[in-house]
Amino acid sequence: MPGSSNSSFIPKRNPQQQERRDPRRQVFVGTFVIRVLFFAVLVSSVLVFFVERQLKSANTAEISALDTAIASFNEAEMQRVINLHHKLEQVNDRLRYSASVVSILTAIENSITDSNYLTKIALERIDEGSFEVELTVRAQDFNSVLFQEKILKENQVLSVQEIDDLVVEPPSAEGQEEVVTIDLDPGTITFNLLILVDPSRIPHTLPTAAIDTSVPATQPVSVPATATTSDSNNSAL
Amino acid sequence: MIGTSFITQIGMLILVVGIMFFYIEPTLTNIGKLQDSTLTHSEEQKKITAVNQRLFSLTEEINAIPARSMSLLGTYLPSTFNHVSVSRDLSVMADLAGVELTTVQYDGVAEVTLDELNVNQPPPTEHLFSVSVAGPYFQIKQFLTYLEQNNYPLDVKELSLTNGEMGLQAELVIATYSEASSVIIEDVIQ
Repeated sequence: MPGSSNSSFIPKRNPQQQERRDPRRQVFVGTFVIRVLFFAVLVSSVLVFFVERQLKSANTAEISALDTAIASFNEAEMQRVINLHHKLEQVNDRLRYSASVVSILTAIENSITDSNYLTKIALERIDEGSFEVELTVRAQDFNSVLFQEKILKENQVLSVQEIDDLVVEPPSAEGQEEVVTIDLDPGTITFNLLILVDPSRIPHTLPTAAIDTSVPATQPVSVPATATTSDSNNSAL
Repeated sequence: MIGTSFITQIGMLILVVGIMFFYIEPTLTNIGKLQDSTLTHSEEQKKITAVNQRLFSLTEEINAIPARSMSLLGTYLPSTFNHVSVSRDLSVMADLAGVELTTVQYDGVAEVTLDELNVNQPPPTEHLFSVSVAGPYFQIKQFLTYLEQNNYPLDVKELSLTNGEMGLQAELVIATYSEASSVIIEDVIQ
């Protein structure tokens, strides 16, 4: 009835208008979100594309710099350095293991007492370590042997290990071995001394002048006088 | 104007998801790898540059060594060995010392065991000589002094001093050295 709607002071809503309003609010939120996402993805894609391109060129530049550095490495020079290093190490080892045999002989000279005589010196280096020295000594009596042992024990260079092969030789006029043509008193004692020498105690001596073996000597070499039979150092051979 | 129909929205949503998963996400992963690669290459390049600089400075040091020093080093530990030269030198020393050189014999190369051999840094080759000299004691001692003062090592490995027919007789085993020989190393390994 047309008059019935105008009689109420409460306006009635148009059902069509009501239906139209609700769907419009739901679609607007979803659409907004999707549009924001879409544009964000587009912008991100562009940004990601340019960042990737820049990083690729930077990576290429780094690889090129690395290749240049590798190419500038000189292997021949490296080998030259390594070879010289090895050679210097070997020379250093040789110098470290070097020892003076002359110092051993000097120590023996200074240790053998006047009453004893050396008949033989045998020396051997064991594996670039200690020197093993065997002395064959001829003494006139047992007191000389004991005194000799005492003197050697006080020596800083020579380390006596043992005395062996002690032989008492009866006096004999003939066939007895002579030592540097010195006439020995009848009745002698022969013994062997086994000595160890620490190479650190016999360092190599520095030369006073380099020995030039390529040029013959133009001046006579001054040689110490050889031992005479009457006034020789009895400790020398 | 972008349509607001449901199908359009779904299409856009699918497009967004597709771009994210099939382009942006893999590209971000690739960017991470590129950054790692760039960092690695940069570090390696710095290391190699440092090595090159060190090599350059070492080469300069070697070039600065006087020629005389290098010559003495080569004399002390030669790369090649000539036993006749050494025998001649021993003869000259014997003459200088005033002793008679009765025997000088080259006994070849000393044996090297596998235990002693370090392939990366092999020891120098040891050459042995048997030498006999005769003369007074102090002159034999002078001969030994000359051996010690030589420009290259002449190490006395064995020495025997006895009285002989010609007076005091010294029997020596002398060792001298040259740079390690690859032939000897191969022989030991085999």
